[in-house]
Amino acid sequence: MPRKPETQKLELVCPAGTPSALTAAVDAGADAVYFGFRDRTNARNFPGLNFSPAEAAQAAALCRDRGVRPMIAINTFAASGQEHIWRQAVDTAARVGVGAIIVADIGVAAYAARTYPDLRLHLSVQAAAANPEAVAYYARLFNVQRVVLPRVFTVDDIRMVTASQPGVEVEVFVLGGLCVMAEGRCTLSSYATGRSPNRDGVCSPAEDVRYEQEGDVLVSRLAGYTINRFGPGEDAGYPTLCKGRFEARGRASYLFEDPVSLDATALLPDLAAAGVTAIKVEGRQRGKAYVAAVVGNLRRAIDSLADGGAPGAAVSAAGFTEGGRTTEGAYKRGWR
Amino acid sequence: MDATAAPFSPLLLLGLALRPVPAAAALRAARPLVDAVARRLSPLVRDRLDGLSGTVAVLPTDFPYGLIVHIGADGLRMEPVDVAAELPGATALLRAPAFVLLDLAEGQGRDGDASFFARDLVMEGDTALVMALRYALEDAADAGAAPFTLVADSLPLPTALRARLARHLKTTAHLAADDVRKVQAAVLDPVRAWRARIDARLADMEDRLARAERQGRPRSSAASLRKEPHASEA
Repeated sequence: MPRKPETQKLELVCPAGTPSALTAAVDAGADAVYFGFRDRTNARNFPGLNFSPAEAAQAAALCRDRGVRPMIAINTFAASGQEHIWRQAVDTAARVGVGAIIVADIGVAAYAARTYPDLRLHLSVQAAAANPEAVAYYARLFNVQRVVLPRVFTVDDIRMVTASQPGVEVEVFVLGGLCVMAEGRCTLSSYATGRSPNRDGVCSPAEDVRYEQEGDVLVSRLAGYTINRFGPGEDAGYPTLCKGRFEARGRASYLFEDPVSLDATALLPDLAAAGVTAIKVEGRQRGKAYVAAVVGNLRRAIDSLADGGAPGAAVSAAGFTEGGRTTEGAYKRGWR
Repeated sequence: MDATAAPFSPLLLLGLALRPVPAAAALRAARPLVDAVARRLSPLVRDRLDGLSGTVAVLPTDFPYGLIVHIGADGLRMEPVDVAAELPGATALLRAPAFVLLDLAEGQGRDGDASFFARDLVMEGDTALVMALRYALEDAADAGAAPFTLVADSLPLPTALRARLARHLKTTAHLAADDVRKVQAAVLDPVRAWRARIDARLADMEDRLARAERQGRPRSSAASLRKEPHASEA
């Protein structure tokens, strides 16, 4: 008979870019759903995406009714002289009764901690808290209760944080887009487009993205720069510079990272054993079909693990992956 | 799948059946239905499309007719279009097999990103407008405006019948797609089996050749291998 693990059951944190995606996540078994407002206060500030204050209130109510924790991401960095936009977002989140807000900016964290001491604070991956001392600092100053670790940590790195900061919950990404840069500090997209992922909430703004078919070849451009050419039948990827294919010494190759999706489903037992509290799915920009499929698969994987079984088949089987491939990212690789 | 190629599908067959009908007559006949669908859809997508404007050409690869979607301050308008016609006013273009487009509008199957990654969906022009339209349609589908429901609701029928018709249309479409896939499999499976045998035989010959080269035999001896009976022929 399989032995039941002694670790805590992992919490499943899921993305929602629209109310329909949120409903899909809740129906598929999310423990928590995170979403953002329709402005530059969140890191998925794409056209047509995100929640109005009224939609956020409805979403929070739906989550509470279904026993799911609603979280609002206010995870960009407040522009000087425009702090009121970020404060207003915190005020709205507190008013609609979310279970937590996810912040990156120290000023926003300070405002939230001071104004709404009972509002649970999570530290966004955008804050790039990459060592135990940084995590302790946020916990001590702003009573941050959970930190989302960068996607470049190994399982041993994670264990080091959980062991040294037992009072702070740790959340890690296990599925979705793989950002290989120091999140919150990357300026590649800003350099090309003039708009910042960290201040405007958009990496590769859709307004700057153009795709063209040149016969059977798909060409992707960002702000006029050609960043990839996908050959006939070759799986495509997102139009981000970090996954662009560039020519160096006469050879075109991926200099930073291939178009590939993170899928660390197989590592769930290791993550649970390392003291991780919650696992996160990236993809607020994805459709509800993606949300329903991957959340359902991860729900089954977590439940299986909690019952002493294996996490089951990799989520990549669902066929939703960038470049048609998956990786276990930094959890297993040497680069950082 | 190549998104620019027409897959074998029920709509491909329907399109062939429609060939005798002049395009102008078909477009004129479709117009009232398309207008009614747009009127029903427009208030449901206006909020998510707020501040955006442009024209998206939605072109199935396996059907002779598509849609032009006009987005502006007054909401959304649609018009049927011959996919072979010039579309000079389009600011964005979506081209995919009809069932990929239907899944996209309904938020089922694979999402837009996955279809794009798999090259089942071609998107050109104003990316922001297409993304916003996609999010708006997904939310509208949840609000009771999924594609088949929209079509049924636009017909002059009693309310109860509309809901039944929408379910029937959806079921029939998917059954037809399944049937067509079965026909396709029946035609292609013998070819695939033949190809698998050829591939296996080729792999076996390459393996023998590699082994022969490792053993230091002269390369010309590979020719003699061809005279050996293949395992499946012995």
